[in-house]
Order: sequence, then C-alpha cells, then structure tokens
Amino acid sequence: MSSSLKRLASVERGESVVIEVVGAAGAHGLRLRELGFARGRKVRVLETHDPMLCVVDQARVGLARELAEGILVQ
Amino acid sequence: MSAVLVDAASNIRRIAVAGNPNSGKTTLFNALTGLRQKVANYPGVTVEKREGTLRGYGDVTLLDLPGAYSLSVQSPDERIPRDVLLGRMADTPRPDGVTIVVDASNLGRNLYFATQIIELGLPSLIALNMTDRAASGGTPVDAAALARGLGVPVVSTVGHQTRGVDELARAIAAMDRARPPQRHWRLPPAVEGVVQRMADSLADQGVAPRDACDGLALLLLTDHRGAASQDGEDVWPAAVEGLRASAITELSRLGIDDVSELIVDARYTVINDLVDRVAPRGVAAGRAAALSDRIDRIVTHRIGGWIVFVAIMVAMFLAIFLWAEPLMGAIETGQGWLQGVVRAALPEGALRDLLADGLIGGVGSVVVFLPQICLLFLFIALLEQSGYMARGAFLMHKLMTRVGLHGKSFIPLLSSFACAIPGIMSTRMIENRRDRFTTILISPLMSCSARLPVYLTIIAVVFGGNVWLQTAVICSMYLLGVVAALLIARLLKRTLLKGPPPTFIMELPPYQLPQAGAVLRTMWERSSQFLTGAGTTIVAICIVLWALAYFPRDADGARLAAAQHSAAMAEASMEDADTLAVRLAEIENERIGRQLRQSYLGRIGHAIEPAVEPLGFDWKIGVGVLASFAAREVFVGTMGMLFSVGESQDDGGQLRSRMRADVWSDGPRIGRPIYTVPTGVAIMVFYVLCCQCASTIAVVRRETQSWRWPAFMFAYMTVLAYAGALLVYQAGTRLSG
Ligand SMILES: Nc1nc2c(ncn2[C@@H]2O[C@H](COP(=O)(O)OP(=O)(O)OP(=O)(O)O)[C@@H](O)[C@H]2O)c(=O)[nH]1
Repeated sequence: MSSSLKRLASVERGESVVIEVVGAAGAHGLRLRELGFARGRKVRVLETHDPMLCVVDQARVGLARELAEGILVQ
Repeated sequence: MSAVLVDAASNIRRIAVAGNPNSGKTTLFNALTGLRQKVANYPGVTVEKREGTLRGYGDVTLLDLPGAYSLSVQSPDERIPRDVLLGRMADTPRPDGVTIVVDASNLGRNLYFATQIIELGLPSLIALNMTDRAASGGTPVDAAALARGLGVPVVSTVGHQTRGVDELARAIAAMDRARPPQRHWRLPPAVEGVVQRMADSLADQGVAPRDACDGLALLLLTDHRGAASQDGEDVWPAAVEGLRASAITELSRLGIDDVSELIVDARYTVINDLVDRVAPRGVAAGRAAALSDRIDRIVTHRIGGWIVFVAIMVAMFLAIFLWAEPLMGAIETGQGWLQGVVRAALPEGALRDLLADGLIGGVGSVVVFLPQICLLFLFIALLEQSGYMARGAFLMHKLMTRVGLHGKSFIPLLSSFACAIPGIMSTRMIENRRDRFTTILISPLMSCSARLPVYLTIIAVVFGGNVWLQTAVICSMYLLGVVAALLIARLLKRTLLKGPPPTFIMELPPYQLPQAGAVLRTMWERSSQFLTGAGTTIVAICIVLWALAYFPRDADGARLAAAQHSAAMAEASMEDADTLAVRLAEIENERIGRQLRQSYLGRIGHAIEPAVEPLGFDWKIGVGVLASFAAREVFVGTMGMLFSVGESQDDGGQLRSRMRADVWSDGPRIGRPIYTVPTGVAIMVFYVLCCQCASTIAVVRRETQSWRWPAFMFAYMTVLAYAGALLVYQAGTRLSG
C-alpha cells in the first residue's frame, strides 16, 4: 500500500495495475464493472492512445480515455 | 411409461443456451443440434431466435439466446436473455432449464453472467468451453471443483473440435428438473435482509416464479436502467418500481448509496476466490495470449494499425471485384442460354416473352451479383471470426466520433458496400438508439454492389476505354458515398438524433484461426438471406416493368412493320443478303422502339421528362431511374430494353455503342448527343446518393419499427440525389462551354 492512487488513463504502456475505484457513474459504471473493471482486479495497459487497450484478467477491452480518467488504480 | 407416450407434446423439454459473446456458444449450439434448426425473430425486436432439436434426444429442444455479458439491459435486444429466462417473453414459454456456455480461458468475466443466470432458479448446467485455450494459456480449469463451487453440473468441451459435445448432450438430456439451484454467496447480513424481503414481495405479487425472485431482486437492484420501462413500453408491472424504490430507501438508511456497485463487487469477490481455487494461475504465460499481444502491438498501433487496415480493405475490395468477374460472366452466359431454351421451347407470345425477358431476365439480374455478395460475406466472416473486425471498430472509433458515431458503426457500413440490407441488420449490436438509427440512415449511401453495373455501363459509355480514368471515376463515386454519409451522420447527430458522441467500451476477442466450416456456413446463411429477401422483390418488379413496357400492344406498328418487311423482301435481289439483313433488323428495331414509346412505360417516361431534363436526362434515362426506385439493379436491364438491344442481355457492347450514338430528338439540344460527360456523371451521382431499393426501405421499417424513419430516409436521399445530379450537370455543362 506504499504507492498512491493514480488514474488508469495515466498508466504507461505495458504497465500492470490494480483497480481501486471505478468512478464512472450510471450505465457506464455498471458496464465497466460487469466487464471486469471491478475493485481488486488486475489491469495491464497495451495501448495508451484513445481508445486505450487494456487487458483485464484474460480479456482485452478497448476503453475510451474519458472512462479511464474515472478509474483509480495503483 | 404409456402415460408419457399419450401426451408426447407436453413432454418436450425446452432448454435455453446462454453465454458471453465469443464464448463459442454458436459453435456448440450447431454441434448439439446439427442442421435441423428453426430460425425466426423474437417479437418486437429483430433479434434472431434459433431453435433446434438436441441431436440424439428427440424430446429436447434447444433455444439459442443472444450472447451477453450480463443480465443488465442497456439496449432493447439485451432484455431477451433476461426476459426469456424469467418467462416474460411473449411467444416464448419459460424454458425448463438452461445450459450456460462459459469460456474457460476467461473464467472470471464469464462466471459473472453464469452466476446471474443460475440465481434465476432454473435447472442449470455449465458447458465449460475453450478448455484447450485455457490449458495452453497456462490456467487449466478443474471442472469438478467448479461444479462443487457453483452447485451445478459442469461438462468440459472444445467446441470447434466437437470434443465433449456427446457428454454435453447427455448431461443436457439428464438435467434435473426437481432441484433448482441456489445462490451460493451472501451479501452483508443487513443488506441480505433487504434483498430477501424484496424477493418475497416480488414472489407474492407474482412478478416472477418464486425460485427466480432472489436473482431478480439482485438484478433489479444492480441494474437501474433495466428496471425502468424502456422505449415507452412497460416492461415491469408498476409495483416493481415501488418495491425497488423502497428497498433503495431502506439501504440508504443503512448508509449504502450505491447498491449496484456493492452487489457487483461482492459478486466479483466471490468469483475471484472461486477462480483462484479452480484455475490457479500456472507459471507458463499463455502462448496464445502472448501471440495476440504481439499482433495487437502492430494492429492496434496508431500508425501501424492504419497501414494494416488500409491494406486489408484494399486487398478485400480488389479480390471481390477480380475474383467475382469470371463467375459473373458464367452466370450471364448461363442466363442467355436458358433464355434461348425457353424461346425455342415455347410458342411466340406474351407468355414466352414474360418467362424469357421478365422472369429469367429479372432473376438473372439479381443472381449475377451473388458471386460478389458471397465473396464480401466471406471476407466479412473471415474478419469477424479471426477477431479483426473488433480491431477495425477500435481503430475507426476516433474518426467516427468526429461525426458523432461509435467505432462499431464501421462494421455495418463496411457490410453495406456489399448490400445495405445485411449492413442495416448488423446495426443491432449498437446499444444507443440514436447512434443505431443514424447508422441505419446512412448505410444506404455506401455504394452497394448493385450500383456497380450502373457505374460500369455509364463509364464505358462516356469515358471510353482508358482503364486508369475509369478506375479513378469509380473510386470517386465510392468516395462520394462515404463523404456524404459522414456529413449526413454529423448533421443527424446534431439535429434529429441529437446526442453526445458515444463512449467506447468494447471487448476485442483473441485472435483465432477461422474455421473453414463456420466461415462458409455464415457466408451461405447471409447470402441466401439476401437472395430470398431481395430476390423476390426484384423479380416482382421485373415482371411489373416488363408488363408496363409490353402493354398496350401497338397493333398499327406491328402491321406497318409487317408491310415494310414484305416490301424489303420483295425489293431485295439475291446478291444483297447482307443489306437485306441490316434493313430487316432496322425495321424490327423501329417496331420495338415504337411499341415502347406508346407503352405505359413510354408514356410515363415522357410525362416525367420535364422533371429530369435539368439533370441532363432524356425520357429513357428518366424511365431507367424511375424503374430503379424499386431496385437499382434494373437500370441496365431497363436501358437494354429501351434501346431494344435484341434478344440476349449479355451483349453489353451493343447497348453501350447505341447509348453513345443516342441524340436528343427534340428540345434545345436537338441532334446533340445525350450521353455527354456531365450527363454521365450526373447519372452516377444520382445513383450514389439515391435510395433506390424497396428491400432496404422494408428492412429499415422492420428495424426501426416505424414508417417514419424509412420515409425520412427515402425523402432526404431523393432530395440529395436530385440536388447532386443537378449541380453536377449544370456546373459541368457551363464549364465545358
Ligand atoms: N480454441 C477454441 N476455439 C473455439 C472453441 N469453441 C469455439 N471456438 C471458436 O471461437 C470463435 C467464436 O465462436 P462462436 O461460436 O462464433 O462464438 P459465439 O459465442 O457464438 O459468439 P457470438 O456469435 O459473437 O455471440 C469461433 O472462431 C470458433 O471456431 C473452443 O472450444 N476452443
């Protein structure tokens, strides 16, 4: 728990992080969580442009940066 | 046992098949049912409803549910799995059980959906598919441990190799109706109490069967939007909203504001524990996943990705046009031969002409596109099954948001280059209604394969034989359609279908070598859908057109021609056989021309000439354009008929030289050629922009469930086409002096 929280959108290419907070409200938040962007899950970032490309668990998910701004990770 | 036989019909068990997209559900369903499938639509939404008998067990019917990630409802089609499983779908009785296809190589996310389904209380069975990929990825799944953890039977399968399919069929047939499964995890006790009370009330009010109410209560608390009524139709009895609201109030008194998040997180926590137990991560990193990573590093790269994308598109369209040509030639030859046979076999008269020209000619004008359409569907199936299609949407997203659309709209637009009908049908995967309708409304602007013969004929007439010039002109016509579509989309998203640009969330499936059988099957299903759907309309139109051109018969003309014929025969000397033949052909053409001018079609043509004259069109082009409003495929055939190019349809060369030689017979331009460059380009621009396809209108009506949208589409495209052609012609004639 030494490192502090940062936004998923600012994670470097190739880096792996753990999700802490999924901030997007409403339908987007629900969809993100159901696709596996839920607290405690590991995410690896493959591409950092918009949309981003992430690996959650074993699934590859394309994700708008705007949504990644609302996801806090460490 | 005789009691069973008496009432065999009610003894059929219906088992639903559910699963995540790309879990291999379709593959397993096909393997379980063979080819004996019934395809229909769910009422109200146009999602395919597939049913089939379980192979080897005549008393079990399988029902394929659309793929989904969860039971939450964010677009109209997404309510199908939920409502079928709850028995709330019209025309679809609640199934007796459910088989859940789970992708073993992506266990966590698949179990999210699986547990939601299990909690709806139907006897359940897990088909643990893709076990090969999970094993090679270094995380094999312990099926027995999974079965213990979930409390339902689990059968391991490898769908595309049909491994485990017999065991799966046996397990489905042996499903235990008496023991509905139970939720195997708990929320914090205070929350649990609220959920239980809500479940009891739901059951008391008869909203759903009692076994389903625990799962339903969780679902209603998770999914705010799905709980509300949608698109004006009441999905739930009014009492449901009241129960949900009071549960939410109770929970907020306990200090819980976001019960949705609480439930999803709790569910995932339980699933993560389960996954750690049944599929502990091996040390070997997955080779397949690593390969997908490497491919994606290029294919989704911001520069490399575009190079790959453009290369694929160019290769695909080149292949479609080059490979289809010999086949199309063969079909035309076959059609000519068949017309010859019919002409030889039947006595002269209306029936013979109807069969040979109306029917065979009409059917032929559709069948001739089949090679191109099959090839396009083949490539689309390859792109889909290899996993590339989703990458295309991913890459295109940024560009598409500029006009307010989602990257996913790229897929229907691409299909529309073959035919707008399958394109429009594939817009169903776009969740947002406004984005979906915008995509539907612009799809017909993509130059479909039916426009190509029009372009080819006109280009050959007005631009001569320079291949480079011809190619450049065709490409600009395709481009014009795309640019117009994007501009219209932008306009629509700012006015009628106003809404923010959609946000991108989309799974990109792992790369996979496509299976030949599956690819061919998809290609064939879609092509035959096109053939039967579009084909019947076009045949009907061809017959009507033929009749309009054939009646009323011109008796005077026929008599005159017969007299001229005898006179020419009498005058002719023996040495002059060639001159005689030319003279006789002239007489015949004159007769056909006269017949046509005074036919209903000719009268209509002359009536509309003033309207099309500013576009540089004469009455014949006017008739061709008018006839094309039913289906643009008929343009070339109609021109052939109007220029009375003899017997068979495949002498395009003759049609082209006659069109080139055609001159204005009256008006200010009398004696000057009709088919100038401005007129030719105006015709093509008109065809690019106009919605000349009754089948497309019918599909838009079906997909939007209203006449308003197809009417709007037809109106805006017609105006656009007329204005575009007018501009091109008027500017073109001014510039060329
Ligand atoms: N490696 C592997 N591939 C499989 C297996 N089962 C199916 N596939 C392949 O996975 C891909 C997706 O299969 P589909 O049957 O189309 O999946 P689906 O769940 O119906 O997907 P949607 O049509 O998108 O809902 C196809 O290319 C199949 O050949 C399996 O057990 N192992």
